[in-house]
Amino acid sequence: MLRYILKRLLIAVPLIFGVLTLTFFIIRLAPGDPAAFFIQPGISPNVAEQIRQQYGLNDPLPVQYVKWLGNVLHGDFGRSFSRAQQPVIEVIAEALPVTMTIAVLTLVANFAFGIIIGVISAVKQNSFLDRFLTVTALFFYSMPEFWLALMMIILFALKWPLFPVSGLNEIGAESYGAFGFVMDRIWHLALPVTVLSINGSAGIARYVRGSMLEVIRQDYIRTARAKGLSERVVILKHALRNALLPVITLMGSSLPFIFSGALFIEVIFAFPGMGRVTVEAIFARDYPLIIANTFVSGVMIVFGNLLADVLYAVVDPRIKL
Amino acid sequence: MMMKTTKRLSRLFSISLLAAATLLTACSKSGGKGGAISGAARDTTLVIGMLGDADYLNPVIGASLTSSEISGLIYPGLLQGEFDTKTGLLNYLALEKRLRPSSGPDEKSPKGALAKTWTMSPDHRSITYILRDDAKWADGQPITSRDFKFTYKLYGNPVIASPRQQFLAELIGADKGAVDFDRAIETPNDTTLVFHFYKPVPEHLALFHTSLTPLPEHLWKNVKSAEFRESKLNQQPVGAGPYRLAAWNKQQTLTLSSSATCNLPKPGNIRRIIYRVIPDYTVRLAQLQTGDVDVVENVKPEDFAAVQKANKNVDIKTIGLRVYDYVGWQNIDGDHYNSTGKVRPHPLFGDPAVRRALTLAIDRQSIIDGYLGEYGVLAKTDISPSLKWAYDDSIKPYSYDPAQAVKLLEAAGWMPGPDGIRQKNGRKFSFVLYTNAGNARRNYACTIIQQNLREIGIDCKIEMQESNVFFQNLQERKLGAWMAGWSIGLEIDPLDVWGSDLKKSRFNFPGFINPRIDQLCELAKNKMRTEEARPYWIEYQKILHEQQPITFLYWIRETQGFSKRIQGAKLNISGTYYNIDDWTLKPSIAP
Repeated sequence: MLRYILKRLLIAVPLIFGVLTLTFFIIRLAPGDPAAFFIQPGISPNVAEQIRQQYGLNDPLPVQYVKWLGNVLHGDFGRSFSRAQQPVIEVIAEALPVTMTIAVLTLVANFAFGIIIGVISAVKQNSFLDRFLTVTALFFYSMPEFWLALMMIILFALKWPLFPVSGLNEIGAESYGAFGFVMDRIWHLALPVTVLSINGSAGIARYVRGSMLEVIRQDYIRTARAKGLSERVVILKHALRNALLPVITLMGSSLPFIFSGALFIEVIFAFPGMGRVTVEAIFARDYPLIIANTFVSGVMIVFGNLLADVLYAVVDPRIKL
Repeated sequence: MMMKTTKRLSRLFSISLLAAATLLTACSKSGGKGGAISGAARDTTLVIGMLGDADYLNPVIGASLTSSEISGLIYPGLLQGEFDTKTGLLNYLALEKRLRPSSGPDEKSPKGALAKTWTMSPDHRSITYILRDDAKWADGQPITSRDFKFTYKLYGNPVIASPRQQFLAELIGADKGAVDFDRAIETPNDTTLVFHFYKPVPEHLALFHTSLTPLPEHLWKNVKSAEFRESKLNQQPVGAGPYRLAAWNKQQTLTLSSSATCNLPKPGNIRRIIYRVIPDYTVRLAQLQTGDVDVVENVKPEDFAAVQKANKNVDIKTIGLRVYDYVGWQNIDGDHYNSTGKVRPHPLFGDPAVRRALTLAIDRQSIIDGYLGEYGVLAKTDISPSLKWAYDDSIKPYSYDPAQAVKLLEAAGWMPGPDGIRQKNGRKFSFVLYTNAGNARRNYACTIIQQNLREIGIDCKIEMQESNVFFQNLQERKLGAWMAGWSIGLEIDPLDVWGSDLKKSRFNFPGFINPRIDQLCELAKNKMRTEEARPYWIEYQKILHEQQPITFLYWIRETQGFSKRIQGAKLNISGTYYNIDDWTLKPSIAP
């Protein structure tokens, strides 16, 4: 198992490196450059050129690449062009925890809602309730997240002002004390996490339902019922455990999706997380920041997939890695 | 057995992750000395919603408008700028002297100026300022003439790459490639500051170009120019203005607090100003409705009714006219110019008569009525009606007249083809109209333009491009027709936009060449009094009106959402926050 994990991690190194190299060249092929912002009326004509000179954007591409490679191998991702020369590592260190919080909360909500809905659907198969839940799940599954987010804001922040519209905390939340601060944060996260998890849990619910239906038909479930166990014990203890095996593996593979969903959510709810950093970096053609973001999400995806495979092996003894 | 542990493990795992993440973000708060906002604190706190964060709170390198506005509250100015709404002229005030008498309602107090007075030498080659001796930086050190000389060297330093380098363009040595600071700026004592120019400079221009904001030399003198942009001092600016930076939570909030020691002119009235970064427009609007935010700029006209219905305490204030939209026509054959460097007229838009026809064919008023309503004004040229001293009232804007347009087109040889599209020498009058994606107003206008042109037998397709792509294509003259907008400067200086030397005129995207325009700009620049240049600008407007290098569509009155809590706000073309340090907040009635 350990050997397998190490092997996978070793394979990931050239993979991520390849992705970064590709990104390096692709973004430089895109029109515009970080200095384009300085070409506007009211800004001196020579500024753009001076900035290019300073950032080394006038060097031939191969030279730029070799320089960049040297820095990255030293672990230096450079400084952000568009964020006041802040070291890229710092920018990401500030943004990542925000996105991680959203991702983890969403993951928990995804599975909680998904499993509940899936189990109900499976147990009451083909009833009106099952049909209703299935249709509702499909409806939300196909909703674009940004639209859903705006609808939620209109409903739960404007029409019935139950939740704040945007931001991570109230202004001046520092004075609420640690507990108050965390509660305020959770209150601010309620809407965005709901939006993100509605989509994901609808998918998981379908998955749980399918896997549950398969398990319920097994012989040992009939045996359990024959023993005279209550329906609740049969479903929750015997069936659910086995039905959840394949679902657990979804945990790893849904991480990247949550990250991409966070992109919209962070822009709409004004959270200073990775999603917003990425979007803004791309529009500003902030090369060092784009590359570093690619690195982070690449690592996330590799880690997520590895986690999925390892979890599979852990929960299903039939699988040997 | 195995299952049990796994389940327990995964539960433990998720709980600990969750706790870790929440704590992490709770700890990652930075600089939370901003204090609290309770019901009572709300009466002393103003919240402004903005699209993006400031880049540098440093007048030498700050490039965005937001940065300049915030810097302007933190740092002192040599002179106080004033915009006279009656004439449209910029005025400069020192403590005991003003360039011209103020006539408008937007009078500024001169007490914010560091200069007591100034003298222009008779030959207009130097200007001498006498500074006040009681001005201090926020850390208690006196502000002296040396701070100015020191900072001007930073502005001129190519490694620092200040966006305001061209302010030094008239100083001694600038004509030879590098300013000779020791000869150009003299500081005989702490309160005397002298600038020397290599040529005679009109007084208003001298005042404009010598009043760049200073930095405190004693703090910055040891910062290397290569590390200037990275310096930690950029995070804790020390100024002398009505406000100080209290906390800066990047990409979230920026808090200013009134500076109690300020005497330039006085501590800001409102105790605390918080700038909140809210990138999404819809959400900014929602925050204005809920009252969480007091000011949101550029509220779209179609949203006024909803906002004011939802919240009676929101006012819409307008400023203008500074921004206009236009349809650009490539006057010269761009591909030919790019490959040979030679100029020849564009096959479709090279003829001024055809461009006039296009303007006549576009129903500009219906775009205004349909989208901007009372917040749009028909545009004739790029001299704003707000700049009354230069604006030509006598020019009649082209009316919507498709019949006349058809006449002009047929006179120029564009006849209807078998498919209804006009053609000339086998070439169809068909083109793509490009614009940048994500601007609802321009999308609306493009659709109407396409419809209008189809009615007179011109085929126009619309294509949206990402802003970076669009801008690069404009610069490379790859677009035949496009729709965009400009925001004008308050000093009329259109050489960058219309100059005949296409290599030098960075923004002459249409490739419009008319030597008389260059002459007029030059003549106007050399007038020692701004107002005396009026005849040149009148002629300039006539030329643009006749030649129609582009189709000027409409001026846009910018519309800012304001909470009615705010009192005493004066807005004008020079900015929404023109007198923000004088604003007051109406106390909320205690429940």
